[in-house]
Amino acid sequence: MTHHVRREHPHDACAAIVHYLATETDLHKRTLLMEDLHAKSRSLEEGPRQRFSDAALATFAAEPESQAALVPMVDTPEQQPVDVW
Amino acid sequence: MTASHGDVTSYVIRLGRATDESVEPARRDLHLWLAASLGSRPTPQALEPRIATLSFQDVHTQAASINDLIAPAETLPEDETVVFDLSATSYGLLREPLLAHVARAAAKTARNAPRTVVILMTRKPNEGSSLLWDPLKALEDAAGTIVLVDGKGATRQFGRRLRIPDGFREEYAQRQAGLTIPTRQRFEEKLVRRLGHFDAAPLRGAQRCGRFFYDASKCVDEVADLLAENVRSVVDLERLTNATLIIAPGHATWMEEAGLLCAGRLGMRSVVLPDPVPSDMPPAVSETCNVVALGVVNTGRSLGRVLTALERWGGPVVHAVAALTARWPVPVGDRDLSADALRTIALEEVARDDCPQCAIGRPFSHYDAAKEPLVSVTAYDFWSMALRAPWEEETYGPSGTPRFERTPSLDEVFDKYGDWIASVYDRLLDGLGLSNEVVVISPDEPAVGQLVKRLRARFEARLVPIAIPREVLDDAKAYRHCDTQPTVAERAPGWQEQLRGLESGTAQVVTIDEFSASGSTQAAMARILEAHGIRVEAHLPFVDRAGHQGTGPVIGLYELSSARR
Repeated sequence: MTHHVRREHPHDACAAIVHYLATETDLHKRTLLMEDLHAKSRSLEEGPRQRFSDAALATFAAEPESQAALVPMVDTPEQQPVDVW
Repeated sequence: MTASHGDVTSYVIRLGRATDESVEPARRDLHLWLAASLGSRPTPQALEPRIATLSFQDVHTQAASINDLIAPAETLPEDETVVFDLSATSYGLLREPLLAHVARAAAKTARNAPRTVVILMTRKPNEGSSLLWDPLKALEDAAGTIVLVDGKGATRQFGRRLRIPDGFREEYAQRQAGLTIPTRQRFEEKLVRRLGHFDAAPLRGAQRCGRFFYDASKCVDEVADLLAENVRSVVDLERLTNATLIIAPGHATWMEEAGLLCAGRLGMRSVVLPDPVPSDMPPAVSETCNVVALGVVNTGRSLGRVLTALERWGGPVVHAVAALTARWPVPVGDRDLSADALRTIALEEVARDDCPQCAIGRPFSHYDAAKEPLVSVTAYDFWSMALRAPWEEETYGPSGTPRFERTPSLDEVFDKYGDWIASVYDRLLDGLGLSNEVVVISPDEPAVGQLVKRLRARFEARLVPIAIPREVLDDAKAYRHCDTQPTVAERAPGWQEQLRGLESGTAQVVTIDEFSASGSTQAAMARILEAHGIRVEAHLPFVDRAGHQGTGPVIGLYELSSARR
């Protein structure tokens, strides 16, 4: 049995997630969107990855209190997912 | 095989895997009532119908094996009533070789003894082409009788004539209606509202994008039945005999077949109009009475072109019916014409300049689902569904693990988008080589139950669901095969009987869940299945949040890195 399943390009996935971040105001949902963006952008090259990171950060500009929930876009050993769905 | 020597012997002939061994009490009552109504004794003794199951592969290649599952005629009492119930399976799934073997078995049973054989089918096979008829028609001098009953209770007899009791047809239809899913419901369940990014330009030159595309290719039979019912409600029988059904499928490729089936059921002539409509009148167009049938009406322009052509040709139209319409009432301009549709739809179209999917550069989806390269759910679609659903605290799951504080209601996601999600699973299973028939094992919980329900509506008898209670999964480490005294299993013996039925077979088995958050539920299912010696092909959660953790291949329709901790 073949286990390979064709999925969308991470670039398309990241663009979609940033689209929802631009309008979503619920903190829990934003956090999970950020986590998803973080995971999907891992395989992108540095340039596109940074652009999506910047675009995501820009969506927080209007809501400074949301910054606390922001999952870093840079992989670090201590980075842990946030415990929300 | 020896038969039970009662007054009635009945078989429910099913296709698929022999893992669901129960017969509804109402079906057993139906068989008893048939024996009382048509058999030799007014009060036949209680019976337990037997299930004769053929796999989808066997029905193609070894349909004769049905004879191994039913009692030979010579073992039956001379006045026995025998019921061959094929009505539990969609007519479209039955195959001619199977019908031929059932007819031969019925003929052999009724030929030399005054037995009554009743064959139940949802529909009578085509008189000219089906292999069912020849063995039955050769029974002119038989000692017994064969009664063929269709889904509406209409009968046809072969051999010795019986008197059909007054009111038989109505009561049969009523009893059968309690057993079968109504056509309208099947249509609704099998119609797929595909989620995606659909370019309207190839269909009608409009610079617009649609969020949805409706695909009725899996419910052609139901569309045909509903169209026929609709036409019949408007055009009387006398007019129908001289009428032509003008089928304008447009881009709905499934409509041609549905229209032709509809015309056949109504005894109408039919003509399929190509797109664009030709300038010359096709010969089959009636000069006195035409009915127009379309696949999808959106703006009404295609319908307008068909009606204009018929006016030009001098072919009067008495009724127009669309399978699906985005506008209500169905737009027929200022014509004085009855028009109807089986269902209204919402395409959620936007101008290209306002399309959020174009703005982020999402590629267009294929109108033909088979050509869609992705066998998964995209981020745009996943988040669209998840963010539209209510978010709530997780209320059930593996014991001893923390619950998610907030989770989208996947129950609601499956309710609203389950038709499309099931179609993605269909393509995934096809890609894994599991398209023929598959056993789907899941926890016995609400959301995944809703998902399995949608899968079953799409796969019909090709899918056998088995739901394992959560308390059994929680205690999976202690699970033993039922021969060695199960602990909790006694509470739900049905699922365990189903697993036992899989032990010696070659069934293709997958496990499924709404999401995989730690891999613990999958591991529990795997342990229980291992105890029964059942091999699992893959675990296919809707959302894989655990990053492929688990036993064997794990393929989620969407991958979301957010494990339960």
